[in-house]
Formats: sequence, C-alpha cells, structure tokens
Amino acid sequence: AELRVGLITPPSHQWTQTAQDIAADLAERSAGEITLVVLPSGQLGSEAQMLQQLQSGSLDFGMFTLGEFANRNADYGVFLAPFIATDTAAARALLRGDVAQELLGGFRQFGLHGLAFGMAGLREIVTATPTETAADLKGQKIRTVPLAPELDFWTLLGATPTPMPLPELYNAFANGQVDGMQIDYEGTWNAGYWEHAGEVIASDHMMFPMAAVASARGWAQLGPEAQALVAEVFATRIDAMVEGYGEIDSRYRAEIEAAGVPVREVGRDWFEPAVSAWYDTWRAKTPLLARLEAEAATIDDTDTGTDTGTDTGADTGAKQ
Amino acid sequence: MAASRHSFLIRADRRLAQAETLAATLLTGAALLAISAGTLGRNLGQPVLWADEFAVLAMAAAAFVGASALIATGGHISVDLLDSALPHGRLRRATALLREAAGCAVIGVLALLVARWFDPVGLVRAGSGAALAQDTLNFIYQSPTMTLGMGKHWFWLALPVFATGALLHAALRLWLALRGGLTGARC
Amino acid sequence: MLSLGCFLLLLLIGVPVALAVMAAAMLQIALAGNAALLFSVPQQAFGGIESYGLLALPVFILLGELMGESGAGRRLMALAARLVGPVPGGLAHVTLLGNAMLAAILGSTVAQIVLTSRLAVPEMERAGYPRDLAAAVTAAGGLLAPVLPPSMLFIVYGVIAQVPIGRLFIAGIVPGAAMLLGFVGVTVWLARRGDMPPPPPAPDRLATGRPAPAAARVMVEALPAALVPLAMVLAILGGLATAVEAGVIGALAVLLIGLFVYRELRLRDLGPALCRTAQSSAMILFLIAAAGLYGWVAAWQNLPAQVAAVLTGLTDDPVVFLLMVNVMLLALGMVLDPMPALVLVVPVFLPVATDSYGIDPMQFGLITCINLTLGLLTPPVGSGLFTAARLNAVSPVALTRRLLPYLGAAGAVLLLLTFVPAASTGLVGLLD
Ligand code: NA
Ligand code: NA
Repeated sequence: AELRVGLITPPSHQWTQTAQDIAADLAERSAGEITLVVLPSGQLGSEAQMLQQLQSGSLDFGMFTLGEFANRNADYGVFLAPFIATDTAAARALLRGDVAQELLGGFRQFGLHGLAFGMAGLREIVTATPTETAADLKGQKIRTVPLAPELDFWTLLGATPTPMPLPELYNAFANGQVDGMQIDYEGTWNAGYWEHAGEVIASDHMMFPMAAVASARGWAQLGPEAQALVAEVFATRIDAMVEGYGEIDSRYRAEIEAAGVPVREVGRDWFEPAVSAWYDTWRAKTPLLARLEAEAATIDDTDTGTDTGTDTGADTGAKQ
Repeated sequence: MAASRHSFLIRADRRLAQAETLAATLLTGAALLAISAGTLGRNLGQPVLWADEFAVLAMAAAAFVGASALIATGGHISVDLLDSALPHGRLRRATALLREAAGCAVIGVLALLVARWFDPVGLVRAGSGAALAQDTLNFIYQSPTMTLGMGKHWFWLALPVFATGALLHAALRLWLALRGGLTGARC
Repeated sequence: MLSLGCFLLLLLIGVPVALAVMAAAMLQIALAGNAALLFSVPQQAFGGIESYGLLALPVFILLGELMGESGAGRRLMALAARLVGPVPGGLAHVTLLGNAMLAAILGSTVAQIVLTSRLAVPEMERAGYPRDLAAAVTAAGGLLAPVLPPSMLFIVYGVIAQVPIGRLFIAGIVPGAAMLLGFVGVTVWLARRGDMPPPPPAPDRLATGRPAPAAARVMVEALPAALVPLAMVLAILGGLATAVEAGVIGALAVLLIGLFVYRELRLRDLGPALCRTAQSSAMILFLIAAAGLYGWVAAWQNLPAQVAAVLTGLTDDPVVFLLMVNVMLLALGMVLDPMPALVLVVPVFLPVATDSYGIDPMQFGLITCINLTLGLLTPPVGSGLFTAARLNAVSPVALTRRLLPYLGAAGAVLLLLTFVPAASTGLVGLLD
C-alpha cells in the first residue's frame, strides 16, 4: 500500500528524519509491501489542514505538535506542564507512561488512531537583553503560540505572552516587536535568532511534545498484521529520536556559546512562585496532571538522570 | 412579459451581488480593524490574542463572498483573446454559451462538494455536530479556532454563501447566453 | 496532462482564470483516484489563503487607494519627477527607484504593484506614457520587493532550508541591485527607441541657480505625503509594527493627511475605497486559493520527487542541473503563486541540490525565490500581472507584451546567479 505522512517540520529536522527512518523500516520489514511517502514542510498545508485530511482519510499519518489537540481537549496540554521533565531521560519515560497511553487511546475522539508521543526536546528562553532575575521578565513581550498552558505560564510570570506568526518572528525580534521567545537551541541557531539575542536562559522549562497519529479511516483499512508492524516501527523510531535529543542539543548550545551569546543556567526555583501557581490552576483544568506528576515523581526516584541535554527545533518548522 | 421577467432577474442578481460586495467590504474592514487592534494592544503591553487569527479568517471569508459577486459583474480576470478575435454572430454566441456552461459546471461541482462537507441533512439527522462527527467522521462542526472561542465553521460558512451566490449568478449568465443576450465576458 | 488541456481549453473560451484553474485542479484530484481527496477540496481552498502574509493584499490595496484618492500620491510623484529632472523616460526611472525604496520596507510584490499602480501610473499617463507601458514598469518594479530585504519569500525559504534569514537578506542585495540596474537599462533602451514620451520642458527649474518658486511649492506640498512612508519605516524599525501592520498605520496616516491637510478626501470616500479594496483582494485571493489546490494535489501525488528523480538522472553537472531547475521553476511559476510553489519544491529539491550537486543552499534559495517571483508576472496565472492589469484597466495580454523586455532582464539576473555562485554567496562571505 502507498501511505503518506505529513509534517510541518523542514527536511533536515529530527521529526522529518525520523519519518524517513520509519519509511525505510516499513519498506524493509514489509518486503516492499508498504511504501510511506514523507511530505515535510507543510507541503500538504498547516497542521489544521492536515488534521482535516487525516479525519477525511486522504492522509494516512501525521506527526504533529500538540496545538491542535490541546486546543480541542485540555488533557492534551498536560505534557506542556513546566518542569514536568527535567531531562531527556525523564521526558522519554513520561512520553511512554500510563498517562501517555491513555491519551493515545483518546485520539479516537478526533477521528484518529494514536501511535506514539515524542518530542523536540526542552525549551529555553532567548531574550534581547540579559535577565538577572525572573522579575526582570515582567512586562517583556515573549513570543509564544496562543495555547492556554503556555500563555498561563508567561502570564503568571508577569510577562506578556505575544503570539506571532513564525515567519514574522525574525524581523519582529530584530526590530523589537517582541523582547524574547521560548525556543530550542537548534531553532535559535539555525534561524539566526542568536544574532539579535542578548542572552539565552538555559531553563529547560518545558517539553516540546509531538504526537504521531494515524487516520482512523485509513487505519481500519490496514490489515491486523500491517497495523502491528506500523505501530511497532513508529513507537521504536520515535523513542530512539527522543533519546537522541540530548546530544543534538548540547551541540547547538555549544555553537551559540562559541558565537559569544551569554547563557544563563537557571532551574525551577528561579521561576517560583509562578510554576506552583501554574500547577494549582491546571490541576483543576485536567485531572490527568496530578497523575502525570505522580508518574514523574516515580521516574525521578528510579532514574539517575545524568543526561542534561535536550532538544532541537520543532518551533523552527512550526508554522504558527 | 418575457422582457420584464428578464430584467427582474437581472435586477435581483445585481442586488445579490451588491449584498455580497457589502458583506465582503464589511469583513475586510473588520480584518483591518483587528490588525489595528492587534498593533495597538501589543504596543500598550496588552496583546490582543485573537487579532491575527480573526484578521486572517475574516480576509479569507471576504475573499470567497466577494468572489461570488465578481462572477455576476464579470470582475474576475479572463483571457479575451478568442472572444475579441471572433466576429459578432453565431460562432461568438456559441462560444459565450460554452463559456457560461463551463463556468456553471465548475461552480456546480464545487457547490456539491461544499454541500457534502457541510452535510446539513446529516447534521439534522444526527442532532448535533458532535454526533455527526461520531456517526460519519465529519468533524466540520467540531473544528475550533485557536483563539476566538468559536467554531471555525462560522468562517467556513463563506463557502456555502459563495457556492450558492456564484451558482445563481452563473445560472443567470447561462440563461442570458442561451437567449443570446450575453456575448462578452462582462454583463 | 489531461488537466492541463482542460485548463487551456477553458482559458481559451474565456472562463475566468480562477475557475479554469479550479476546474483543472479538481480534475487532477479526481484523477488521483482518492475520493477523500476530492471531498477535502472546499476546506483546502479556504485553508490555502489562511495566511498572515496575505493580509498584505487588502492592507496595501487600501493604502494604494487612499494614496490615490487623497492626492498624496500625485504630490509625491511630482516631487520625484522634479528631482530626477528632464530625462527621457524620467518618470519610469522615478517609478523604478521608488519601487526599490519601497522594497526596502515591503516584502510583497503584489502589495508594491498595488501601491505604485495608484501612485505612478496616473502621473505617467498624464505625461504621455502609454498606459500599458506605465503599468508594465510598475509591475516590473514590484519584482524588487522580495529580492531586496526584507523578504517574506526568503524568510519562508530560510525556515524550510534552515538557513539563517539575516544572511539570506544580505545575499539578496547584489541580485536586487543587478535587477534594478537591468530594469533601468531596459527603460533607457525603450526611451531611446522612442517608446517613452519626450521629457517635458522645465522652464522654472534652477534657472537662477536656486529653486524656482514652483519647485519650492512642489516640495512643500509633498512634505506631508512623504510622512506616510516615513511613518511606516519608523514603525517597522522602531519595533512598533510588522510590515502588514505598518501598512495599516500608513493607511491611517494618509487618511488623516487627505482629510485635514490636502482636504481632497472626505470621510464618505472611505466606504467606496474599502469596497474597491474588498473587490480587488477577493479577485486575487480567489485566484491564489484556486492555484493552491494545484500545489496541494501535486504534493499529495509526490510529483516534485518524481521530477527530481528525472532531473538527477539527466546530468551530473551542477550548472546544468540549476539550468534545468530554472526552466522547471519558470514553468511552475506560470501556474502557481510563489509561496505555495516554494513550499512544494524546496523540501524535495534542496536536499538534491546540496547533497548530490554540492550547491550552496544560499545560491539555490536566491535562484528559487527570484525565479518563482517572476511567476507573479507570467501568464496564464499571475496574481501580480492580473493586479496590475485590473487596477490600471489594461488587458493582461497587452501588459504581458510590454513586460517581456523587463522579464528578460530579470532572466539575465537568474543566469548570473546560476553561473556565478559568488553573486549570491560573495557578499555574505565578505561580511563573515
Ligand atoms: Na523587500
Ligand atoms: Na505565473
């Protein structure tokens, strides 16, 4: 069967690379029965358009940011909890945990079949001017996507979350329409935002989660064997991708530091009491959050968590 | 009598086109106001979160509603090479007929696709947008906007408005062409 | 092929271009043999114009309308003509230079064509230029918008190709300047040939060694009008506004100047101006939505990858490859708008260009973006061409004929970029 997967990330991005790996694996393990065509950079349209194509069955798979889902059901914003995962290993465990499995099952409500959760890593803060304390963020215009969990985080910090279409961001940051952005190291480096940055706050404050989903219509037409193969290949490859983020991230951070941009290392305490206030708000909005916190606590106990690295730039490709 | 019915239809068509143009103008104005509000808000430290999304959706809706009116007035760009080369007479009338029939057919197909997507019959039968989505996997009434707190189908309504209006305009033009009263692209 | 034939037939019998494109796209989609694809057509058509960048269309069309209505445009042109002096084709040069300056603020060709159509064409016509030639000069000048920084097209290319946008902007300066020179050269040639009217006599100009009273009046009168572009530049560089928002600020400024300074505008003129804005932008956006369907089904069918496979099988030489890409892009630009065409082509062709032929992504990006921009002015589907034709009430066919020498000059710049990699990468290299 000829199947298609759509993404908004550019060809060189890890999500797209992983989709290519999945295509290669599927071709090999099905002995050429399954061909997966990878359509990156939003060739089929925005995530909203691709979601509609998945629902109608003209597209088979998608690897999406959580925006479209979290906007429909607050539960799907749960992975955007600040500091829920403090390193790649913890994030990897959460993205395969019980809450993740339950959320994957819930994709039926959108006319989809959930395959796996991944991520583009943890996000940092790039600002035009140095930030001594979190109080200095007050009144600063920070570019975010207009998604409730992210907006709340910045509002609670006293900053002004400022949605802005991604293609506008470079000029906007250069000219001062926004004072900063939350983004990964790779996006900061590749899009050249570092050229106008006064500082990078190495906060690792939030995951950039990804959901790999199939069209429910298309899924029903695959035989049980093909379903099992596809599910396994997606899960395996995406898990490997999440694991690989630590190294990619430290590489780009080193580039930025070598270019002379100061990097300020901060942790959860630096952002308090905003983070605790965020949890108070969102525990009421989604009961899944408390369960995810409990899961995270057990991971912290068992996981040695030596991996401090993180992410790359889905924001670079995310056409918001 | 035929002539008065004729002119009544033309007048009704013009009224419809005027109404569509007015709607497109208002939507365009609303988009421009939203951009202004967004600019002002951001510079006052109070970003208007919905400004960009509203402006874009209003512009897109205006485009479709306005495009319908342009069918009536012949305002869309077309190539008039053949039309100006042909002598007045039967051949030219036949071309006009073919042209209007083809335009009607394209809009007709589009109208069918729009009707299938909005599925009003299915909606009534299912009772709600959510039920329709469960029954038929048609999520049109379950697609939220990002920042506006309303369903996107309110903006997509520009499509059935376009399809209905354009079909009426195109049908009248076809009828006029059949009666030999329409040769050039503009009427 | 079948859909192309259907498209040309419909075009020939005079069906509106947008409907002909839509019919061909739907036929292509039906031939793809996937019913769900066909059922997605309405949503895709709408989604194809759901883009922030396209807001530049209504915004700058309104700005252009108000510039024309308020008398601000006429006064600015009078000033510019005075500054350039009595040269053959003087107003055409003024228009091109004005376009280059606008291009330093704007990134959208169509927005620029709209503005200069309202500003320059009436003045040129009054001075004796054939209207289709005047429209052609403004349309050609619009090509500078996405080449000289800032440029929406470069930004989107940068995002797809992961090339720093700031460098792309710098890389655009050399080809942008080359293009301007080429256009000026074409204008000089046309003036020598006698296509442009002779320069007007200038009795009151600097005869006594200082500006004649009339010249001073021209300058004073133009001063408030000059505040409009100035306000826009300051709003962008001062971090107050994006380019689209600056257009709204400019429209507001010209409204105030027209109402209270020149007093040629009345508040009740605003409604009709907005109405014309809605009509013009509906015409162009509907066309873009229709063409977008084509790009969408081409992506779904993975056509770019198939074309890339054919091209790589034909040659190992990077220059030959780039020449073939140029031809393919020109063909693609004939029917698609630059933005959807860019998204369709770059993800597939860029990896081939860099990995198989060792082409610099900067060079590839400039060639791709400039080439696709030409598509705005090439028939049968060109939103820039149709905008200029509609706003100036000239036939697209006559306009195309007048545009040919200018498109030739732009083609020469493309050849320069193709054969000389340093034309795109040199300036960036110097600054590193
Ligand atoms: Na520009
Ligand atoms: Na074209």
